[in-house]
Amino acid sequence: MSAAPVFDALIHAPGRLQICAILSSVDAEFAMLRDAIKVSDSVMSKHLKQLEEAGYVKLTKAAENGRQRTWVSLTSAGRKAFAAHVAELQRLAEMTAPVPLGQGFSG
Amino acid sequence: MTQDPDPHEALASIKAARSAIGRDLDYPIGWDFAYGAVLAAIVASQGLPSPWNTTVFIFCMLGVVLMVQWWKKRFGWWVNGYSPRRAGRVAWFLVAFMLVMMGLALWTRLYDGPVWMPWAAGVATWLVAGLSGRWWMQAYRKDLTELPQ
Repeated sequence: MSAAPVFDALIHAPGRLQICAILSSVDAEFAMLRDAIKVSDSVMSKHLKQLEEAGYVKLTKAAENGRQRTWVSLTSAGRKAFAAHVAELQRLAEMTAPVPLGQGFSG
Repeated sequence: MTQDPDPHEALASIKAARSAIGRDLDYPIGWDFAYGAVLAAIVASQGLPSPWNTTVFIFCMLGVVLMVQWWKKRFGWWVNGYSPRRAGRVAWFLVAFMLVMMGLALWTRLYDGPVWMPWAAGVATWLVAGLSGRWWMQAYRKDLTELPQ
């Protein structure tokens, strides 16, 4: 990932982090996302509302067999923010990586 | 995962969420047959005179739309771009193969090539596209076990 590392507190919350991880590869239906991150409808709606208000996801409603289904996709801004957040996590993880045995301080 | 995950936890959670997408995916072999057939028809129709080549192409595109709708309804997701990694390489292989086969089929129409050529190109495309669909999915699953690029 070549994005400049930037920590994004909105994305970092566990549920939203997983939502963004899934949406980085696929466009997904509300129910699929809800089942994947194992939350209730209301918690899922709250996460999506926050991401939508930040301009990170786009919600599209589609009628299917008389039922309304909501499809969710990452926007270009959301994709960039997620890439930057992952880059920052990788940077932080490298800084806090445990020292392999035998390579630590001795003496 | 904790409410404020450390970087290692967060990265592990991203990998887990991504790899869960296709892990338990079980789609029928009929999908591969249909996918191969649609691409085969696009290839073979290049050997047909106008307006039949365009007519077949339009029907094939309708077929693609129906297949995508079926997948989305059944699994609740659809790939939103091409992976630059393993799956992307499989996709480019298939595109290159199809272009060669389309060229062979066009040869019949434009330069009076052998009549069987579009059929042979279509059958070859059907086989290769059907198999490479599964190959692509395997590659895509592997791509999903890594962090996004």
